[in-house]
Amino acid sequence: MKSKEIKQKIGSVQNISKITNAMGLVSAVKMGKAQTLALNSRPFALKVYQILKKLSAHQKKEGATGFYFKERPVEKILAVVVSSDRGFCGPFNKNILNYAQKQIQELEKTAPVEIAAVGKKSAAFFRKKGRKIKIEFSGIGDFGKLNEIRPLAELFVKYFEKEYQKIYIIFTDFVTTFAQEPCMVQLLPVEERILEDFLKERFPKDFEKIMSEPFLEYVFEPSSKDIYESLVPELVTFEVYHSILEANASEHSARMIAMKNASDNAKEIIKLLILDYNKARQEQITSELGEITSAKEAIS
Amino acid sequence: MKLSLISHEKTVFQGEAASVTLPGLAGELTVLDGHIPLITPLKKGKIEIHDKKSKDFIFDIERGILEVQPKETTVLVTGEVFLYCQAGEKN
Repeated sequence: MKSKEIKQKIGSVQNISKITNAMGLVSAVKMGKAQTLALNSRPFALKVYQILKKLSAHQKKEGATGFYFKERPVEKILAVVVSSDRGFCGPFNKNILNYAQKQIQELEKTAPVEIAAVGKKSAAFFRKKGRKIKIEFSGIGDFGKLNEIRPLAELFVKYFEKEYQKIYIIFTDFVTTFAQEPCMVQLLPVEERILEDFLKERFPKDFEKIMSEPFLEYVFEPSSKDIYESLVPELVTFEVYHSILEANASEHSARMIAMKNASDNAKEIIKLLILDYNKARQEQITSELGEITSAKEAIS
Repeated sequence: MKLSLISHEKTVFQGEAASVTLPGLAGELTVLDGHIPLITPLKKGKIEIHDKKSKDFIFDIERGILEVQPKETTVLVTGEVFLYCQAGEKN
């Protein structure tokens, strides 16, 4: 390659590294905020799951009266898949979407599955796969806000009342900045056994404490039936909200890491290119010198 | 009793409380030590907490869910929450 071409290439790699560097810095800030939000909402989420578990146990004792706990013959399943709106976040979307695809294929054995896509990437992926997308929800932005997510969750509850007999949510669980794990939970109907499995997986530290609690005979005000009907949609809202926060934190972490890797790679490439450039330059000088000396010899 | 007031954004209050008064759906209720296990929704109103060190807190909540367990009481605030006032001796 000629030295001029190499120089151009160095310039473009430098430009890219500037962009990835800036994106990495921005993601780092967003990651900090998203992680705080997700981690701070965990005690709340844990309590939400616990209360749901208790309500489920109670209504079972009372003879399975609650609508939101009842298993109905499954005709259609809704899978809510949470991805990001934007790309450039490394393997984040690929991981969650492949996992979702696998889980959906499993679910499909029982009944047809339709998709509720949260995030543009998830919608695009399932459209390509030729699946039916019931609803597409994008524009949550960098941090899920409760006011924005509440209508979405309410919609899911309404869907459950009419069309779908089972609703699952598939999202990325934030573990650490370097590790995020896709996971799935059944939103509706609420089942004690499934919640136990989920809690065991998500909150292994608190799980033993939760399981060791004796069954308490709770008093429900105003009445147990009212509680089942009014509290479950509220609690499900927070399940959705929490899932989206976890996904947000994972997204920003994944992007930060991806951008950091990209910047490091760019630095490495620039180093190699500069080496190539120097070699090319030296070669050019050597050949020029050779030409000059041979020309001088020819003259004398 | 151990009392915690948790919102979706943060833990608002956590500590030992002598009593707590809450806006239940049917009317105001007060939880003291040894209350029976209870789950009930809360409506918009004020939560008054009396600390064991005779310190008072008043929170304003939009809505919430109360869970009373034998040794632990938890309030899940499912809307906005403000610290309305705080009174009593400083620690």
